[in-house]
Amino acid sequence: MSLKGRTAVVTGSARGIGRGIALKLAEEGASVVVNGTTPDAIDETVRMIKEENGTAIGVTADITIKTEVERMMEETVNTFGTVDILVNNAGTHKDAMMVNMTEEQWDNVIDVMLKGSFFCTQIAAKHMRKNKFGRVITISSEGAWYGNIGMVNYITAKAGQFGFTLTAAREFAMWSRKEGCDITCNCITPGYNDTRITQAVPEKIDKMFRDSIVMGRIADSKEDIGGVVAFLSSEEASYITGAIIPAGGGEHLSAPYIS
Amino acid sequence: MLKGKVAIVTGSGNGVGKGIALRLSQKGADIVVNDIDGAAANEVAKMIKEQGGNAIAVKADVSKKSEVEILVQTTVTEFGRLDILVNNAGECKAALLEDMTEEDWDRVIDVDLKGTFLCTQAAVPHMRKGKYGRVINISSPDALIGETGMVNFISAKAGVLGLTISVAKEFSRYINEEGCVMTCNAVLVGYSPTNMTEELFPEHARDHFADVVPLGRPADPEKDVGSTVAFLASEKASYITGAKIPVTGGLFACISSY
Repeated sequence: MSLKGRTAVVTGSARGIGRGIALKLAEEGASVVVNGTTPDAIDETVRMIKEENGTAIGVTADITIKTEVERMMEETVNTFGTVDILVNNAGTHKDAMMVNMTEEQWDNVIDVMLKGSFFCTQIAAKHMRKNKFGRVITISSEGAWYGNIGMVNYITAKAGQFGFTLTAAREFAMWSRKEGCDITCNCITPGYNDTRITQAVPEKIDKMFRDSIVMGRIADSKEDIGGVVAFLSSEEASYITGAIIPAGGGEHLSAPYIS
Repeated sequence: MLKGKVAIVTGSGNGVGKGIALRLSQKGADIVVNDIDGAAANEVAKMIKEQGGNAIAVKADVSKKSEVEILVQTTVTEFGRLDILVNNAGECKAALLEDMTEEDWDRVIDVDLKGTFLCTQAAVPHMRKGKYGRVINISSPDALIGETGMVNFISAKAGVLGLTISVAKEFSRYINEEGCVMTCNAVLVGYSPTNMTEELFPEHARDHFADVVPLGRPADPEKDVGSTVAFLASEKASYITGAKIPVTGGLFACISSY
């Protein structure tokens, strides 16, 4: 399952789940591009990877701006030769009840998670097609299946990533058939996690989410989420495409969002 | 990746099961090759040993409780433990609903659905003892969209999905109270050329199946299905439970996922 010789761009990997994914891919042998908007946090992830003898560079870029995404991919290709794996992980939240949500709150969240995934995939896919190998893995959320109060922008973006994944998978499959490429596009839905985003959740709701996890514990970003990303990134997963893989420790069996 | 683990793969004398058994062995697991066809099981066990793996063959009909008990007992006697159960054994006796005999209904439900229940029930105590368990059920994306002339097979395969999510939930008590790491998942296998599909469908139909797959090729039992089963069987997949993983080359992938 080694990813030796592969280059991976992980958006939003300065911290949280993205950092865990970046660490795991590096451990499996990939050269990793750590992306985010906070240089200090990016440096910290790069340092952690290097400390484990991995290869990484940091690129500060706002993925909602096309020219910045182009610059990030250019830097990736200049440093490592190509891009084989793209993990669309960058996320944000600006919570408000739907009736009160401002246009800015809506736009910002949709731009980061949906438009950002579009820009990154569009530009990375050109390199993947040339190389005849590619893996696009988008990190959505269990919540996209249920909805969640006060998060109409976030949930809409996360559910939108499903549609994005399904369509990109079909378009990549055309290249697989006609040009002999091995390019897949899949989605992972982590559940409740220990990240900056969940730190804002009130205690009572926090407990409800934790209690709903069949596996009885919060995910380890590196081992649990990163492990799935690493498998989907490998050549062994070449027949899995357009899939949405739940990685919430069985949270989807409890549907905590409904209550 | 699976060194020290012991796996039973039911119905692994042929087809998809054989591919899974070979792959799990390559990843380091000791394999119990089960099939109702004893000669086929022996042949696969021999292949595994020739490739440097460990395997035994156990002939058993998974629809019979007494035979399942022997299967599991033989496994534990031979290898000392049981970590991974792949419920793959399946039959398909195709007929239109109107023409389907009671025998054809019963047989397919008994092997594909009840067999999965019996094997899982017999395996779980050993998984609890070893504090590690992976139950991986082989189903089909057709279980979610239906198929003409297969009401028995599709009912069984859809039933297997219900079993999967319920067993995944029941495991939570062993996880939380006993510190076990046990998961139960389903792998939905797309079109794969096997004896079963060759018997069921004429060549032009099989060509069509391969053609409607977005990736334009059928699933390879060993490389595609086996690798996914091996991943789910490993410690790397400790946080995936109650999931349906489509190995379909893009076919019905979304509806298969949930």
